[in-house]
Parts: sequence; structure tokens; C-alpha cells
Amino acid sequence: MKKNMTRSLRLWVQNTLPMENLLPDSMPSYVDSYVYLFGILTVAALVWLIITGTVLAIFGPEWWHVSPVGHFFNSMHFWSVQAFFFFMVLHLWAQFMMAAWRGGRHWTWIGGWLLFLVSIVAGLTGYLSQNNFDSQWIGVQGKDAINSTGIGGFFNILNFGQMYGLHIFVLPMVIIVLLAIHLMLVRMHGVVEPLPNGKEEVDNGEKVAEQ
Amino acid sequence: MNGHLTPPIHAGWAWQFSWLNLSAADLIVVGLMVVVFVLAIVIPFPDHKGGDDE
Ligand code: HEM
Repeated sequence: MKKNMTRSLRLWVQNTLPMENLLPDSMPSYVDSYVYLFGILTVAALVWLIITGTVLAIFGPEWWHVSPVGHFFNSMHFWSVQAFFFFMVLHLWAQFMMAAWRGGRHWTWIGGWLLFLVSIVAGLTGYLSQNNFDSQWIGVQGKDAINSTGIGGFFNILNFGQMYGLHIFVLPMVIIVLLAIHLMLVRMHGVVEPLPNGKEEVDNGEKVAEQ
Repeated sequence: MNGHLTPPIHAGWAWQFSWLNLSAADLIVVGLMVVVFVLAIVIPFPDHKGGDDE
């Protein structure tokens, strides 16, 4: 058969992430725990962030600082950030406690950390985009710390246009791409098995021996 | 106030250690996270009886 890029891409997708794995309709019984919901709660918060952020970007600071509806969307955006980080940290704890990097899942774990780090920068640029005395204060106070690292050469937190552009376009895009990879990796590998419980293994072993 | 700038951000009362600035709000959030985490582990997940899967 002749080489064909479309076909090899299709075969690669079929082999690495078949539809049954991408959109499964059942999960192993150990997934029956609220602990596994923290990831999707983080996704839910991100969806709200994008919806409310889009409304803020459309109408602008004169609206979100003055009108009651503007205040409402501004608050929704702010509280979605709180939920986003709240659940992301709980998700991180959960994955850490169950050592979810096992069984070749290291890129899911590393990707999670990248998401965490990019999200922090997104939070900083968001605080700088408020267009009020808070954001001015943070910009002026933060510039020396950023400059001392050398990053200030191209990441100038006093440059409002740069910070706003990063906040409303570049960083959300990076987060969405990283998240798509993160979720595809989860589906490719399946949910990580619980950590071996020493006692259970001995019990099972005895039972098998008795039968 | 005495001619010098004060931060416009009022996070309320906070502990000040050399590099750490920990407000009461910070502690409440961390405490809440611990509580939610423990509850998520302890509370049994409702099982979906009557589903067509085994
Ligand atoms: C934007 C932030 C993030 C979102 C939206 C997100 C979302 C998700 C979702 C929905 C899942 C599958 C369900 C679950 O186990 O909860 C998952 C799995 C996973 N996440 Fe995240 N995550 C984020 C950040 C992180 C962080 C910070 C880490 C750790 C450093 C992490 C590590 C993992 C790992 C290792 C898995 C695989 C668990 C398994 O195979 O069972 N994620 N993530």
C-alpha cells in the first residue's frame, strides 16, 4: 500500500484513542468516589471563566466598573477564579495522594503542573487587567520582583496592552490546548488503579489458597 | 495617611513572616479545602442501581 498521511493519521488515532476510550459509557467501580470529581469541577469553573470573561471583554472596563450588570459579571468572573483554583488544588492533592503518575501517566501529571503554572500567570495578568487602583498597585509593586528575575525584559507588567492581550487571548488558549492534551491523556490511559492495599492482597491470596 | 501610600487591597488582618503574608482569609480557604477534601473521601458515592451495566 502506498504511503498516505491521512490514512496513517486515522490509523494512529484509531489505535491510540479509539472512540470507546474517548467517550466511555462506564467506569471501573473504584471511580465511584467524589474525589474523582475535582478535575471536572475545575473544567466547569474554567467554562464559567471563559463565558463571563468574554462578556467583560465585549463591554469593557467602563461597563464592568460602573453598571450593576457589569458588576455582576465582574463578580462572576472573580468567583469563578476562586472556584477554579480551589478545585484545581483539591484535584492536585487527590492525584498526588493516589500517585496518579503511575503506569505511564507521567505526562498527565506533568501537563497538570504546566496547567497550574500557566493558570497562576493568567491570574496575575487578570489582576493587572482590572483597570482600577488595585491593578495599578499590583503592577507597580510587582515590577521589581519580575525585573529581578530577568523575565521583565519581555514580560513587562506595566505594559497594560501586553498583559491584557495575554490575559484575554494567549493564556486562555494555552490553557485550553494543555487541557485538551491533559484530558486526551486521561482517556488514553484510563483512570489510574487505586494504590495497592497490602491487607486486601493478603486476604485475596488466602481466599484463593483456600478454594 | 501620613503622606505615604497604602495598598488599596484590604485583605484584612494578616500574619507577617519574613517572606510569608498569611491573612485570615487565606487560612479560611485552606481550611475549607481540607474539609471538602476529607468529605469527598469520607462520604460514600451514591451507587447507580437499576443501570443497565453490571
Ligand atoms: C486547569 C486545571 C486542570 C483541569 C481542568 C484538570 C482536569 C482533569 C480531569 C477532568 C481529569 C479526569 C478526572 C479526574 O481524575 O479528576 C484529570 C485527571 C488528571 N489530572 Fe488534571 N486537571 C487540571 C490540573 C491538574 C494538575 C494541577 C495536576 C497535578 C499536578 C493534574 C494531574 C492529573 C492527573 C495525574 C490525572 C490522571 C488521573 C488518572 O489517570 O486517574 N491535573 N484532570
